Amino acid sequence: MLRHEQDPETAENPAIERVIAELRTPVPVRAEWRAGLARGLATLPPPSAAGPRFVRRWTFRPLTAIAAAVVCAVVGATIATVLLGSGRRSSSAEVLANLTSTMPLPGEHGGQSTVRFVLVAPYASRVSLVGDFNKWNPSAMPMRRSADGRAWLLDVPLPPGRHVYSFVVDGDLAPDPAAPRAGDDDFGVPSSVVLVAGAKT
Amino acid sequence: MTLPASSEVDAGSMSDAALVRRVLDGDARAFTLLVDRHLQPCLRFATRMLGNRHDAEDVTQEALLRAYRALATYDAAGSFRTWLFAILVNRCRTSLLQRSRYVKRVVTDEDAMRAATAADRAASTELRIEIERAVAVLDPDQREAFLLKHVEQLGYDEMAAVTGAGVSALKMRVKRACERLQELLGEVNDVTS
Repeated sequence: MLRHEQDPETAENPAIERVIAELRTPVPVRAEWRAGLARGLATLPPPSAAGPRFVRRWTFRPLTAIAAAVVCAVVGATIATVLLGSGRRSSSAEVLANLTSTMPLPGEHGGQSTVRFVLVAPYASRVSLVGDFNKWNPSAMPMRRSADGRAWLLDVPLPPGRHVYSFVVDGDLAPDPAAPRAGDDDFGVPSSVVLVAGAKT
Repeated sequence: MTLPASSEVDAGSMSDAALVRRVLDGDARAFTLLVDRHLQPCLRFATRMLGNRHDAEDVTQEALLRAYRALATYDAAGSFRTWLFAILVNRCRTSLLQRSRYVKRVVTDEDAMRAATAADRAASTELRIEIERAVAVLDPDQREAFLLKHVEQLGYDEMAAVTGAGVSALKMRVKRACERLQELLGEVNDVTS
């Protein structure tokens, strides 16, 4: 089952081979940790094959495709209307907020403005906001579920300027699907950007 | 309740996909066999990737619990190891991102002291520390590719499925990692010789 495509340059390099041999050394498994893992597994409900809604079955259904296209067109037109109607460029967080609930006007919290972050993720069980404003700490800013259960919201006072952020959805990082992507992603993990009015740059 | 001995023997020789099927059919204990098979590679990868045993244990546990919860999404047409490593790699990336903003990854004094006190392996201690330091200096994507390729011995196709990167990019990352490691360890040898 194991396949090892040996790079000739690596195979003939004793230094690299030494590194590989050292790194392949098994890591001790602490019995206490192993027992904790078993306890953690025991607390979970048994997985069931009857969970097809999570299984990707890529089949093409013409009627479904047409319906999806219509929905996309309507949503796109709505977003465009909001953007054009506001007469300014807005972040996706703001746009979605406008679509789902009222958004507080920029506040006067020591020169900071309140930005409402919104992520539509009806099947998520836990969503938090991470960014340069909270040192990318996933437990610092948990988001709250909207009244209809479809979206996750959080109002954050931010100083004027450019802020890079991402969502943590059930433990996985996810960029804002509609916001501009940050060009300075770390570790290949995509992040998004929100600009708060008043930036001098 | 325990499995009859014959069932344990049968289960032990079952493929990963068959064990998954068994778990999904209601035998949750079959997952223990999957954990036993894949725990060491997962923990080793996380340890080498994060450079910290406690973080590696947390990440590995999260990945295994997540895999258990999402077992129904595993497609038996693919390798279970690839599927599991995709989850693990994602968890490692999240962990790295979380601390990257304010923590610089180094071999800590505690690690060095622990290694130095392992008298039975004293001869290799210095080399091991230098290797850990060198691996820690690699760019995360290069370290990830190098570990998957040469330590966990995944094929490039598997690595592509695990990381989401293209095969060409992965080959380049591995090549650069090798060059960088050679450069770093060469510097050490120059200083110590």
